[in-house]
Amino acid sequence: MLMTILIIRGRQFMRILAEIGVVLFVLLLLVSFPLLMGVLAQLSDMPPMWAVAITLVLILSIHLNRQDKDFVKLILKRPFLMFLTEYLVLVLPIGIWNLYTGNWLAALALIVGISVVACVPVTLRFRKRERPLLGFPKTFIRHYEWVSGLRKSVVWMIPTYILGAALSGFTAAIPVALLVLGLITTDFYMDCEPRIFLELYNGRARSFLRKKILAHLMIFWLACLPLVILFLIFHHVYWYVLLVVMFVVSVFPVLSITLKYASYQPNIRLTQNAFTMGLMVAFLCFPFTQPVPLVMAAVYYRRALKNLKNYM
Amino acid sequence: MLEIKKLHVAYGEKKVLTGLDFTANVGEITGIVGLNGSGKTTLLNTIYSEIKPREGEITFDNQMIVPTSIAYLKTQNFFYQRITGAEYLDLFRMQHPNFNVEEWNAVFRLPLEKWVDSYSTGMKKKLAFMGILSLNREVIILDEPFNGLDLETNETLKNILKILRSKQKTILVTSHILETLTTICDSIYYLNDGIMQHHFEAKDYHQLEALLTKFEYDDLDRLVEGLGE
Repeated sequence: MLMTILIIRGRQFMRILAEIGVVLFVLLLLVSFPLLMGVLAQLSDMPPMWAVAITLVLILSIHLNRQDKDFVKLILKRPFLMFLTEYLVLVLPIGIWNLYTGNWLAALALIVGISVVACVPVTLRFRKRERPLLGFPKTFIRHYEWVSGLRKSVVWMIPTYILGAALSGFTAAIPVALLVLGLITTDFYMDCEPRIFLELYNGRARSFLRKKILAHLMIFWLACLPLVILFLIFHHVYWYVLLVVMFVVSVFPVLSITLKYASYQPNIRLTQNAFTMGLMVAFLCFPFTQPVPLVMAAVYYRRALKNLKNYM
Repeated sequence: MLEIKKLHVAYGEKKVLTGLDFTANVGEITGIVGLNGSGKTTLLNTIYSEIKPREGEITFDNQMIVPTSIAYLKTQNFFYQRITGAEYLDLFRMQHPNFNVEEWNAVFRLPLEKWVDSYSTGMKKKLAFMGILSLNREVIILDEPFNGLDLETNETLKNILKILRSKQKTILVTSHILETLTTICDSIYYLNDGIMQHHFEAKDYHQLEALLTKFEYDDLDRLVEGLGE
């Protein structure tokens, strides 16, 4: 049974890869290599036990939050074996790195730690609020992705915003805050609304897409205007850095909105789009892959127009 | 009149509807029954133009049907997270500002100030129904509308449908609970093998009941006993 589940996991992964296509997969490998090298460089600078501790905390947080424990208990006599196998696969590169660099104790600590985490029988279930603390004006409700997204992500967005503003004396603070805020808002477009919501826009696919993108950019940059002004006050000599960050952050919604409507089907969650968006963001990080998201934005835009014509 | 002629629908190689003919009259409630996977939802999605048929035509009042003439309540309705019931209905009110949410909610008694995430299945169904009701469209399609509803709301829904029928709406309803259909429908179609195999008028509903309760498996005892092995 354990083997069957692992095979299913493997198939799931292969299906995700198949969905992103061969070209993007090759580019993913190209991007992954320097990223992996960067992580390994960080690891080599860090005391080995620190790296193990950070890894264990991450795996523990995954374990405490996974909601499939009851199901796994139902089908497996020893569910911890499945958790252990999955986590071992996840930490394999770090384990191999420790063995390669001769840190036997760290490798052993990692395996023992993962085994303990896999046995923890607890699942975190937070009691959710049932009503919002703050309402939105009725005219804002038409931006339902923002209403829903802001409420889901406010715990991340407000601290990021405040930190960005508070640390605005440092040159990197506001650009980083803008990038993080921009990234968070891409998650607003992972759910496909019912078709009836599209009808409410009363328009054609092209104008619908244009309105969506423009509305997003307007709301985002209006909200972030204080950060932009702060940056210009303290670091006006680096105006070109701000310009580049603003451009990159503005590409995020264009990608996430066009990608959403390129694969739009009423009433579904586009989980695989999170992966594709992550990939696009990774491409933006490296100069040699930076044109890829721009090309893909154009491709997704055309696909979105074609797809939306079926529904509008 | 909603009319479907020689409708063929397939998912890739898998044929779901194979030359289906169907008629639903204005001012009538028409029921559709069929086994799980018989293609009821595919048929409704095709009428709503969410699925393109391979062949066949769907007309309403002798014109090709358009989705904007249809109010469609799906079996599973989608709601954005962290949206309140009131905000959900406000989206519909953008186009239909005259819809009186307060009065309608006196009928359905939903906690509209709360997030829809916290609603039960039945409450979500009621909210989605209020939304499509506000559209006031000529054709109303309800896929399993009674699923998850309490007995009182069941009766309320039936009464609303009867009133809508008297307002000359064309109503299509599917349900797995035969009794709910036989009490409100003017006629019921039986969908099987990709076509409407039978059409029953109200006076023939006993035949439909006999057809659906026909039990074909004599071997269940052996299968259930085998569970312990």
